[in-house]
Amino acid sequence: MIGVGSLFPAYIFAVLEEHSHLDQVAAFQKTVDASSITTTQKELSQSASTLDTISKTLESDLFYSTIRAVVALKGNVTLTSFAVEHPTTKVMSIIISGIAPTRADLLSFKSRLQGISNKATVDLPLSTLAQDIHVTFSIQVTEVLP
Amino acid sequence: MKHTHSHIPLLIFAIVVTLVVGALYGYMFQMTEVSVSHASLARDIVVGEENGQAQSKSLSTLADATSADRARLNSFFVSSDTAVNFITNLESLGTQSGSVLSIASIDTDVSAGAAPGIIGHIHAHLSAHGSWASVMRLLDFTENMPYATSVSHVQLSSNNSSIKSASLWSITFDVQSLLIVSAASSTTM
Repeated sequence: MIGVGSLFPAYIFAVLEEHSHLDQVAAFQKTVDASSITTTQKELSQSASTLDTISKTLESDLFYSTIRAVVALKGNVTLTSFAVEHPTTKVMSIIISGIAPTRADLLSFKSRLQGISNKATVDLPLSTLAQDIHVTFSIQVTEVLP
Repeated sequence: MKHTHSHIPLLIFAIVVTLVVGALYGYMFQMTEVSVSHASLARDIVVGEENGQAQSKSLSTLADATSADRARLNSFFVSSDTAVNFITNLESLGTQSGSVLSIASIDTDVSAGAAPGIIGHIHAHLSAHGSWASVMRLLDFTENMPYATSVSHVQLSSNNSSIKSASLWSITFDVQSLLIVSAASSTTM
């Protein structure tokens, strides 16, 4: 009987606790407007998607800065044309043509281009170096962007 | 010798009482266990609801804090009913940059009669000539147009292949902007 009596308060407490929590749940459910939350979630999701689309479009706007960076390295080499491509978001390719006063100037220009980044490859055809002065050249620089 | 059996009913009574109390204890134990389990479940639901409310509140706060910026997102798109403004803006870049600009071609990948809200692209192929500074300004201005614009296939060449500095440069490139079909009109481009 003592055991039964000692379980009774625990039983009463558990029942009251359960009712209290259920009342709280009912109160929460009254205050929550599920439709407005869903609408807000949809709006935010749509905005995130739009932002992602815009960001992807803007990722490729590197041409001006790339050409300016190359021109800054030209030294006494005359540049006559550029062909710049951004085939993927991670790769930038630029073909630079021009005339170098001497072979040494051209090699110097090439080494300056190589210094742009350790992920840049600079391709200068060997045949270009046949001339000693007034060297007409075409260099291809491919850079893997960070 | 006479045996008294008066203790037998008492014994039976004691056994019956023991069984009843045992059963009562078992029942109470079971009931208490079930109630505790229900209370625990209800508490978990309350915690879940509280977390849900906190998330809803933070979601609403985020939505309110970003509403102005989100409203500006659509301004990055060329609207189908204002595509002419986009073309005019492109043309004006020539004057602004000091180069002679022509739009060689312009088209879109959004079909006529597309539903409002559909996002596509408007493509233009531009060519221009002028001084080095002017064609570079044109490229800079194009990359920084107030639309979600991307530039590709840039070709720059000078008309002077001598060792002396070139004076006149030609530039060709493609421009692609995001286009959104407006609710006011479906595109007929």
